[in-house]
Amino acid sequence: MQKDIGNHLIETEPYYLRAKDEVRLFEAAHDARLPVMLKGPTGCGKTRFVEYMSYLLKRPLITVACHEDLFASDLIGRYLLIKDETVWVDGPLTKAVRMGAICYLDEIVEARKDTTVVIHPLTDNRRALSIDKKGEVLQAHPEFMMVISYNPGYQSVLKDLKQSTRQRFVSVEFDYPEARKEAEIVSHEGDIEIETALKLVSLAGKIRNIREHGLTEGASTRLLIYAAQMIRRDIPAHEACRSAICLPLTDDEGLQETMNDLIADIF
Amino acid sequence: MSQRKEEPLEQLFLADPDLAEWVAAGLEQKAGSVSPMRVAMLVEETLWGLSQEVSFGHAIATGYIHLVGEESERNLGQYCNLVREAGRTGPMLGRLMATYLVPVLKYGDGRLLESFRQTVDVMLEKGAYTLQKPLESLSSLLNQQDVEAGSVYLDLLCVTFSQDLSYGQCQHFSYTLPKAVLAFSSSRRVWQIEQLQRVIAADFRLADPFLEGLENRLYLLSKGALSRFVSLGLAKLKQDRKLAEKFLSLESKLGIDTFADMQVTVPISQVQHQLNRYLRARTGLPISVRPLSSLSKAVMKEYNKEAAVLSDGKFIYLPGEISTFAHKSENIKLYKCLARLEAGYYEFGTFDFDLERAMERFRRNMKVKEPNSGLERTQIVNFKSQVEDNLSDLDSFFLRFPVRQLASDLFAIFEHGRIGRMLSRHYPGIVRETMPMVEREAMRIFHHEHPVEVVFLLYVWIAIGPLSVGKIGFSKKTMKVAKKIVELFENAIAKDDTVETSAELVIRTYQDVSKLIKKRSDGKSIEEFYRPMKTPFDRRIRPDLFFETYRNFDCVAEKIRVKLKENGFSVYKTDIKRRLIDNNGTISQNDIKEILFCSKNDLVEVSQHPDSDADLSWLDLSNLLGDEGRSLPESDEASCPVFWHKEWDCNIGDYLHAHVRVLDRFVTGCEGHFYADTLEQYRGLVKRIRYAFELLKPEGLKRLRQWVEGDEFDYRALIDFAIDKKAGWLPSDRLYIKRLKQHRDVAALLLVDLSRSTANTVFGSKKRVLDVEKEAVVLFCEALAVVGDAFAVAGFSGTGRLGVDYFRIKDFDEEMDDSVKHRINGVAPLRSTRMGAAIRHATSLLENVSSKVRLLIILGDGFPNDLDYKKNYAIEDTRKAIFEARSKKIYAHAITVNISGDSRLNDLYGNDHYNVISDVQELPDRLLRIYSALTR
Repeated sequence: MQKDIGNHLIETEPYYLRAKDEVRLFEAAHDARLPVMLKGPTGCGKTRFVEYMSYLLKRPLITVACHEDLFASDLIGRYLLIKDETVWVDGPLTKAVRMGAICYLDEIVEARKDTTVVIHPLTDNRRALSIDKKGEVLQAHPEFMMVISYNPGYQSVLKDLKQSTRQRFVSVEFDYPEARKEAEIVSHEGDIEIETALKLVSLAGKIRNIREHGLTEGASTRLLIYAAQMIRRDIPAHEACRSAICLPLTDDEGLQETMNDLIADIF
Repeated sequence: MSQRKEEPLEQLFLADPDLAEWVAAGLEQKAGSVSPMRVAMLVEETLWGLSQEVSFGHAIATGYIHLVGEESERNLGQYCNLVREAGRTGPMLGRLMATYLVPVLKYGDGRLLESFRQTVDVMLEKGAYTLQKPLESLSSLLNQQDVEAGSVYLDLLCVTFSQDLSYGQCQHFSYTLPKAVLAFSSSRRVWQIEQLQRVIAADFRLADPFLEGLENRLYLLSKGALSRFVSLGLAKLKQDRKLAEKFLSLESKLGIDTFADMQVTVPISQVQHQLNRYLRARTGLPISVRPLSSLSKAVMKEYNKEAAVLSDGKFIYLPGEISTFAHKSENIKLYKCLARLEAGYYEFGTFDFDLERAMERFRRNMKVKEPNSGLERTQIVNFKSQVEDNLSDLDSFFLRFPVRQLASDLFAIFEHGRIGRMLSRHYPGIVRETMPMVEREAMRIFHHEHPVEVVFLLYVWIAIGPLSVGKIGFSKKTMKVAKKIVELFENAIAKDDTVETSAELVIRTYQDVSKLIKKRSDGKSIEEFYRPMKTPFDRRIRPDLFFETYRNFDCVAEKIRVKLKENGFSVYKTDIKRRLIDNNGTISQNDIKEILFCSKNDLVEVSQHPDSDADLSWLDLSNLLGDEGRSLPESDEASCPVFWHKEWDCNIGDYLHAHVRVLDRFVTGCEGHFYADTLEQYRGLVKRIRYAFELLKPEGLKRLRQWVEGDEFDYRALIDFAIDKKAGWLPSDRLYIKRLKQHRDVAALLLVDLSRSTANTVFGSKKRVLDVEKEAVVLFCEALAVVGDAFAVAGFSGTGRLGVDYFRIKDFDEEMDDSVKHRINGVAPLRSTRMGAAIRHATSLLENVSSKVRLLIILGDGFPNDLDYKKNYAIEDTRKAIFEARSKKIYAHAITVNISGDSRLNDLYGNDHYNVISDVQELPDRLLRIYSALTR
């Protein structure tokens, strides 16, 4: 078990720039053993934040990327046949419950609805996980913590969390960081000088202004970092922005043209 | 009136006293004297005319009055002869000649007269009925002194009517040609008529397609390009007339491509969308572009229309079209550059100038250092920081200088310089693109318009760049003064780059500049000598227009400021105004707390910082704000549920919130056998539909192999499992087959347009358009019941934004029972089409349906149209509504009946998101085909 914990511990401090008081909120929630929901648009730093908190709190982190075919057994575990023996193998969730890790279910809305129900008893005062196949009810390790992420940008009736799920979480809201901080992040992660990073951020700000003109989401910090990394590798700035920011965002030609204009203005 | 004149007039008086009096008055007004011989001639001819027909006589008298006593008098003999000659044929022709010959003789020469006579002769061969309209338009051209156009127009008429035309064709041309020619823009009229003539000479049947093309976009071509285009079109004629027609009318792809290659002139409509989106992105404000022609006449007069730009806070006004450069791309670039430069005022706060703040800052700075630079102390004291009534802060500031225009120009210099510095910091690309254009334009102004030297030098140096200065020669003395000012500017702007710095610089440099101008004014006073500065592209700062746009907010802001001041809080008016503008006329106490500043000692330390502890609970903002922006209409007394929807206003580029009132109710049912009759009538089709839709139904269960849990073993996987195990590998645990009940999860809402136009009968049938639509609805219901999709049917109509009706015919959770059938029967054509609101309402209903695929099918018979909801506005709003639906993952598809394809449908619904059914009779069948294709 100890070795397993070691595998999931984050040893070096991940780069994370605090935006508001999210760290304090998370620490308080951890202290009270409350489950946390991270809300925010794609690429604004939710996953990085969890890694950072796991490092700060010195707790192992187990991440599960949710998808449509994720079954309860994928989370809890199953029997496997190993040399004529049936051996029970813990799933990531059970592992986390046992070792007292932070279990991070990324993009929870993507998972099947019946799957999300298994986390319910873990996220209220019971703090227990029932493993049907073994007939075992596992009491969570005192340090265990559940974190899920959720992107309200996909506001669709089909991809919405059930109220019964939502109302079990303390929610921390994320958005793109303010310009100066975002530039600092882009500059650090993309390893470029701050001036160029500021320009990238200013471009993103302008693109976010026309979200309602047909973009489902604005340019994320992640895209900016991609652009920065391309620039770092000697791709001319306008080309880097085009391939890392404009093209991924939309296929609409009119919007592309506006974005190209903005790039030409800024660089 | 002299005795001599009276005598012949006396005769006329006996015949027609009113006419005689009118003639006498007309003669009186002539500048030169009219010889009695002429008067006698007038009377004689008029009497002869009157003897034929009264209106003929009147026409003759009017004609003579126009001609006598003028330069054109020498043509009087010809006039007399020609009118006589025409009059002998009949009074009708005589009258036409008497009326329309006048401008020909008055403005034209012998050649024009000759061609006029010839044309009239040619047209007379077809019949006198062809003359009226063409001659009327000719004289209106000549009265505009456009003789050249008149002359080519006559040639056009001559060529047209010498063709072998039928009666109907003659009548058609005598109506369309005048209309088209008058519609041509005067600067292009001559060569457009010439090309029209070429087309008609080749084949008169090409005239209509060509005119259609001209109206559409061909008018944008230059003289040479249009001629080449027509040549290409006429070359097509040798192959096939239809080909040439489609080419000239810009319907064929070849025609459109050829046009695009040749186009140089760019109309604003071509760049408007892109510029609006750009401005929105860059400034984050709802600013959009408009043609200069939409400005009031008074403002328009000051601007040359070729290339100018100005703005009023909501709109940036640009030329209606640009043809400055020889290439289309460069003209587009000019548009972009003008909009980019103008946007700088808003992005960098030019209009956020606050007189109070500027004066406080200036006094403070003067106290700290440079106690005597520029102005005397006494003068500074005179600078009150009070704003004049009805003037913006900036204009009140300029008013404090002896020559207001000079102050305003200096401000423009520093402000353009400041914005230039900001641009090169934030948008080096803009500077790179625009400055060469601006510089070129500045050079042109310098060489052609002889501007006031020192002012222009400062403009070039500060607003364009020191490099440009070298290209122009200035006197040493001027250079010296300018250099000092430029240094001052650079230092000041490096320290503080707000608009108030520009104002401060005006105060500090005004004296020096005005002294220098005075020296060169040759003794004239500076007020007389000084001419307003010309800037490239007429880029002037117009605080007056901005003030006018937001006058209400200015008043409210001032009231709030005074109120706060009375209670010991200091806040700048412009800061309040900015919040009001940003929040559409509202401001909260928290907003005010953020902009409060403490002025303990009003000269020493003014630091603006949010004072969150301030207690403003006494402040009654709602009272001060008045009713601005919150004029919600009367209460909803309607008996049915009422919904308010937003609407997109393309003129302001922003949503109008809660703008449209939608009344949501059920159609009143009407008993009848429409439903059964329709099924009976389309018996064969119904059978086919049922079969086709049965096939759409999913098979039921779907088997998923290699599942980790399930209902039975997957034997293939079991074998693999055994082998793996034997081999000592870790076997996969995916051993099961799972049966999933698969279901089709589609919800569809059919939205039917019930506008008045659906009452029209279908060509070749007794049915109305709506009847066919209803039949389609019946079959739609039948088919969807078979396939099992959740569906709803609704209609919409309305009058004005407060009266949009949304009629439910069938709800999603309703069975297809008799009441639904009666409702279908009860549907009737109603009023107008405010499509955006109906789509928004339908979207909000569909949103609550949890199906995986949600479809909104809009069935209409044309373009949206309602009170204050026309053309572009309606199209833009509808398109927005469709975008909104799509962003909610609702797929909107439109089916348009009874109109032929129109490129505007692309604008309305987007490519591939609509079908056009030109023959409505096909609708019932096609609707279901489209539906099944969409959901397959």
